[in-house]
Amino acid sequence: MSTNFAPPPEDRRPLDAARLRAVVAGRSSEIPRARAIALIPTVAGAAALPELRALASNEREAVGDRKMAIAALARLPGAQAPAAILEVARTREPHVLGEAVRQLGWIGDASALPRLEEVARGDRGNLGKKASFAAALIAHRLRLPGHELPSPAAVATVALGDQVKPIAVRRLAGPEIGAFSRLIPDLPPGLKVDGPASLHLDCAGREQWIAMDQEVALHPAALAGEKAMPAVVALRNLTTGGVSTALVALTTPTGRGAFSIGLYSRNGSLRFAGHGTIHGDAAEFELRAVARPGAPAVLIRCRGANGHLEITEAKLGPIASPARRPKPIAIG
Amino acid sequence: MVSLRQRAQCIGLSGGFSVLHDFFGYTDSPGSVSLKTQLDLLGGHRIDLDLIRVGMDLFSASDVREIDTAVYMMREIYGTCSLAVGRLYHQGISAADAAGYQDIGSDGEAVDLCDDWSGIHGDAMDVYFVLTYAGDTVGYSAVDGPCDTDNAKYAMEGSVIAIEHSPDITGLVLAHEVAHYLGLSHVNDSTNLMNPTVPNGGNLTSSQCSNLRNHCFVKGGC
Repeated sequence: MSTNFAPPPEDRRPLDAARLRAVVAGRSSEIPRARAIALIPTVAGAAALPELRALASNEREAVGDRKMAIAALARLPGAQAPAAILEVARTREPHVLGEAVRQLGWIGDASALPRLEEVARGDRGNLGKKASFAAALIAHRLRLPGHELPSPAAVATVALGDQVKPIAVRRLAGPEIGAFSRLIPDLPPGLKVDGPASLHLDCAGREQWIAMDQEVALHPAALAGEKAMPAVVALRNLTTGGVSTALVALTTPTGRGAFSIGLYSRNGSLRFAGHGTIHGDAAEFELRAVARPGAPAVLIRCRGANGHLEITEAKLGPIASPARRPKPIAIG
Repeated sequence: MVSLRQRAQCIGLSGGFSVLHDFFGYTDSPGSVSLKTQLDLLGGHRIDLDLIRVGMDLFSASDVREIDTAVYMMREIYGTCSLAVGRLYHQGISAADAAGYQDIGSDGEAVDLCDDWSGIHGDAMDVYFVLTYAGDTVGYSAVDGPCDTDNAKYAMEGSVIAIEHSPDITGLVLAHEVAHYLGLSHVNDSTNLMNPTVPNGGNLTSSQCSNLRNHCFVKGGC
């Protein structure tokens, strides 16, 4: 369950843009400043762009507040937000740049690619990897050449073993279908999902949806011809009912009617890897959990045809290797 | 009358130790701490915590003090339930190893953080402190979370707390999220700790206290 910030209920004044701006400007400290920055898009909408851009770009501002401003910019409607974040991405402050890179990967267009390439060339660590992933996200979403990621086919996956459980899968039903595209507020731009090409999964208490792009669902054979971002996996918050994108699918043709597929977390970690083939006007693919500390074994086999997605097999196995451990910190 | 040394041994301390740093687990003094209160509470139920700083090299001294203050506040709240916050094991994940987890962009990332990492002590609950959590979410946790974290069960194991640069808020969030993990659900009552939003009154009912004390991570008295 998550906990959200809201002003005390005995405070009956609306949490409006004026109050939030007073906090951001330093005229009030009634709520944490980073929270005020995060909340501005919900009350001011696109009108908040200039102040968020100014805050994110200001090298004298606290790094945390600048990062929150970038995340807030990414939630604004309209085409100006990606350009604003690209402007911020000129910064040399690595953590602010990292956040700008992350958000550009999600909402950016081809104009962001040169800067992302520059960052990727200039850093051999996590920042460079983020930039490479961000460029790959844009290239797959817009079906542009280049910006390839390492092939998921080369990655080791977790073997299922004997102690497997089924993963409960069902189609969306009733009101879910009509509301589905509105359920996931942070879909990447251009991805149009709909109910018939989406499925609900209950995986050990985690409620998730696989949501497939309408165009891909109607013409899956295209996956063998060009790279794509055909689907996302969304996670439901069981308390608030809110849904957010957890994983994104990226496919790349590998020749002879086949394609590779990887499911990546938003920060670029490959979580599931597999391959698919085209048979007539249908696509069949298989995904397995990538071997990493703390990962359970998962096998999912799917078939997409005629605008529908069907899971033919879905299994969950034990965790093969334990999660990573932090280092102790001596105090005193 | 129980001695400090007896209680210390009960919670796993032996030989020479610092009362502030080892017994209470504070990095600095968050306020006036009552040794008597803590000794009394440890005679009842207690929970130990693995406090994990995600991107630890990016945490400022002020951030670390905020964790101290948050725990102090949590001890005050849980003390009303006769539940002690016992050993605090401070741990960290470097920014390089965290690979972005210090800034949580969505609930999925919070879940992934808890999947990918596990605190050092199997009998202590994992609490991850992150630098930012996007949007209006300030914390995330499993409800009635598992205890056998070393035995590789597929469930979210841990709670994720954002540093709010507001010690009162962070303290309430810490107490709230750990209470989720120990089995409490939301309650629509602005005076109650488990109100869905913070800030709130931070109170717990006797029924909620009883539920907290019954979780498998809660240890019996010294």
